[in-house]
Amino acid sequence: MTIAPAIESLKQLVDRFASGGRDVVGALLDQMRTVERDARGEALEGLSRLCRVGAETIETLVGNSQLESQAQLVAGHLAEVITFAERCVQAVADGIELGSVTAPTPLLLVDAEEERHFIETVGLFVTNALGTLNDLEEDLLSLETATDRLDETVAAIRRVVHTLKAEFGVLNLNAPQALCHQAETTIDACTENDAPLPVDLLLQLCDNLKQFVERLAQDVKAAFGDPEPMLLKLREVATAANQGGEAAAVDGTPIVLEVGGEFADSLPEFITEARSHLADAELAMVELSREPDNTDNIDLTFRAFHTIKGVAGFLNLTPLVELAHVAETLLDGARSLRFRMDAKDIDLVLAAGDMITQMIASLEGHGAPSVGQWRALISQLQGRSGRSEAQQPEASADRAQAPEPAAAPVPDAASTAAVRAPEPKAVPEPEPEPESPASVVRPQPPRTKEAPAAEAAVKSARVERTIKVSTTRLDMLVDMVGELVIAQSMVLQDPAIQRLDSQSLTRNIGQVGKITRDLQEAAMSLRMVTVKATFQKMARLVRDVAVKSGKRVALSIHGEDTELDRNVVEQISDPLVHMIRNAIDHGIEAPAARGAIGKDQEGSLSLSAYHQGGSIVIEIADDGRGIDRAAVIDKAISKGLLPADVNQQALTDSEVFNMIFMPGFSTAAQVTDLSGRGVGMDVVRRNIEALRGKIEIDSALGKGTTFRLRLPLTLAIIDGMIVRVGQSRYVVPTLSIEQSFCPAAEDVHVLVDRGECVDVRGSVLPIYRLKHVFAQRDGKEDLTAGILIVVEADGQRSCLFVDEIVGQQQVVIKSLGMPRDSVPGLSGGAIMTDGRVALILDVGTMVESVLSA
Amino acid sequence: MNSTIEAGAVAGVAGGKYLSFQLSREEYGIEILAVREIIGMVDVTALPRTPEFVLGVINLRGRIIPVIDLRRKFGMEPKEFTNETCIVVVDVGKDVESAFRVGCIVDSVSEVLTISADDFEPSPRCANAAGDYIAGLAKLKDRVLILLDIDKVISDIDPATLGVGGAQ
Repeated sequence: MTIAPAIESLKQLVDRFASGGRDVVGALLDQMRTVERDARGEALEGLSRLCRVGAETIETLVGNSQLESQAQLVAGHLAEVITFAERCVQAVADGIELGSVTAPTPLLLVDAEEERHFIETVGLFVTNALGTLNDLEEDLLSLETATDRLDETVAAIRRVVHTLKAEFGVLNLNAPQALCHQAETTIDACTENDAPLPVDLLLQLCDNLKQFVERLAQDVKAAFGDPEPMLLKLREVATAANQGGEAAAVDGTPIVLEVGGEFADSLPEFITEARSHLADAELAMVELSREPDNTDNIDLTFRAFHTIKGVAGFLNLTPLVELAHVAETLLDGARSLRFRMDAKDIDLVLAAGDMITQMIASLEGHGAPSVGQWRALISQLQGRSGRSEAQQPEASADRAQAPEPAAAPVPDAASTAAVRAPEPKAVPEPEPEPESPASVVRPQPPRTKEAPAAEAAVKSARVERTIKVSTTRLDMLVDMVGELVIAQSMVLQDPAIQRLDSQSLTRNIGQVGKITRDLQEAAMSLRMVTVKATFQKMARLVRDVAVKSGKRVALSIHGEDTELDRNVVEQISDPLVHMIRNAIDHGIEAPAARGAIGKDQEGSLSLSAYHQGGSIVIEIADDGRGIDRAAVIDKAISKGLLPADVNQQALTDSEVFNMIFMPGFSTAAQVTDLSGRGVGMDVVRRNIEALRGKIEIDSALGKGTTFRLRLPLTLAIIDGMIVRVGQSRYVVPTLSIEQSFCPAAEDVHVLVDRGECVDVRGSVLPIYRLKHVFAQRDGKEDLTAGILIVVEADGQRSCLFVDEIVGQQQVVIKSLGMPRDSVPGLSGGAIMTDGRVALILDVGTMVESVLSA
Repeated sequence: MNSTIEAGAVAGVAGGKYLSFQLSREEYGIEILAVREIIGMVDVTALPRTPEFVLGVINLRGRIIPVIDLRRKFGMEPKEFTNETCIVVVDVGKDVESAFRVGCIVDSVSEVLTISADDFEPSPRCANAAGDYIAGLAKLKDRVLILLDIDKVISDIDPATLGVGGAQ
């Protein structure tokens, strides 16, 4: 390598620069130019470009006298460049593919506008990528369970990885891009050689990428960790697969593209445009795989290939024209509805796009695809479009774009064989070098600008009409609508308004009221999201826990489209993880044990979500060993939670099962004795109660356990009973109320030092006077003059004494604004129609606080 | 805001603008950067189980915030609310987690004063109950302004630190 000494001396200059030497800047720039030239000579395009862009940026900085303020950034980047250069040199020496060396991001001056745009793009990307990664995970998992349609799943996985690669590329995230690239190569190697996919490794990759994307959501500048270990593993798998299979013989000569014709001068424009079209086409194809019926995507891709073909024709780029033509023919078939594009078609079109990309890159001195690859891809594309023409031969007659001989093939035995044999290398990839896909004409890569813009344009044109809104804005909207509702009723109830006797006013006010309510409903629905993503996460968890605990578990998911408030969805994830882990770890028996008692060796776990009476129920049901009632009671007695002489028959199942939520039950050792339930169950209950939800347990010993989480549709609003005590109003959540009644004097009993009780249909319940609980000075004393409300919390029933019930109303829950929101007995405040604040009772903590006082 | 207050608390001096208000016979000052707004007296909903000086909560344009009675807090005689009685809404808390908004009831607000660092005197060491809450004194031409460290005034509002009160 003749370039090594140049890199070495650049390194020394960089070191001096990094340690504060500014006199070397001139020499540094010169040396960067030298490395740039040498690198180009060595066909190290990426390095050459990095040096060029870097040198230009440094010059600009010097010109603006900004070098000092950016010195650290510059030094850091130069260090990266040196590392990259050394790796390149090493890779060349070892004969490793250059594309696998991760290049650093080019050093660019990003102005504020561009940066804001970039951040927005990242935001958009993060949301999409998380969804895509979840899909990927699901597909990978289904590979392990599904028996049929494996090919389709693998194709889907490959497609998703490919999309991710492109998306990372758009954002200049080279490390994850390289990883996706390698993953794709590995998947190809495995499919070609009929080797199973390395699911675990890919899941691991999926996790890594997910974590990275999540970090990216926090900080757009987040860096990916070292991709090398993962790259290495992926490469190993690919090599192993390739060695296992027989390497197919292909014509390895690179395609020669020579620009000719009178329009040869327009090559740079062609390159820029073609890349932009290909980017559009790629996105369109990915969209198509999501919604196969949207023919707009096919049209768009068709036009892209058609345009490329046309311009390439002027430039005499014959191989490119031929490839674009067959791809176009395939698309045209689908476009005229002769057949539907399936996953395989989409793969092929994507592959054609990739190959054209590579051909275009070769016009700039990169490696061209081989003739063998090219030929194989063309025959595959022809094979696919031939399929349709064979089905409906008359359709080809009216094709305006009369196919050239090569494009109207008959899928005879020979060509089918040809389709299969060269498949190994049929899907070449553009090198993941820091090349911009949209333009190389200018040193400022438009990736941060043009490509996302193109992406956004394509998206807005075809994605179902959604926009992404920041949650703060959304919450603000919901808050303001809440205030509007209050303000509206304040106007309505204003005495001055009520004195007016005007029909039209009444009608108009009624109209405003209706619109306000509709608006509130609409605003609330904006926050609803499906539980799908959460459930998908659980699918992954089930697999992992099952593998770890050596059990076999089939998970079935129902009602994943059920919608819940975003905040609720976010908060049920943790409890679900606990409960599912418990269900598998402790509930479902080992396969052998299951076999011994005549159960199917594979345990079943179902996760469902459905509406029931104004709330959402999430159900986790297993067919494991169930909860041993007697054992729970024993444990409770030994823990002192129940008196030793407790009448076991008198305890209801729900009382017994609820014991497992007690903190004392939450260590593993005890749980295992107890048919194993309860790790972290107190945490589960706490979480669910924080969401104002309830947990119900059904269990039959030996048959299984069902947990039902009953959750409110939204956290923001509760249905409440407004009660009055003296001058104060309180809101009692309707969910906790059983009944209310005026007590008869003879039903009330005063127990010495135990307070008051009342007999409600045979059960004696304690009475809590809100007046006393909240130390109020006013309010009724005589029980028979007021109302008793029977409430239930934590399985305990009790009565609240209030002066009167004012009415029932939905109220928006607001924080009391106290630090840590920790007023015992209250869950918040509600702004009433007169603009004053009423306090919302939290029956559970209220009773608890009275008892502990 | 935080850095300014902290700088003042450490050195005992922080020049700047202060909102002055009347409480009983004394004039007090709060750093203006902590003040969100000043509103007239509104209906207050009593909040049980909180320290006595927490008068309750109010609806501040759709947001519920606690209000405290500075007279009670400093152990002064209660006084009927008048037209002059105001709620000074302040943001307290040094960091995001502990930050919250609270209203302070004062007899009346006077003016916004610019006080230079030279006018400050450290708070005198005396066994006054309110001594802890005083960041310092500012000597003006004809009077003395007592500068409150509002963070400290609010610091014991949290009922969790008081235990459960009020239940019979």
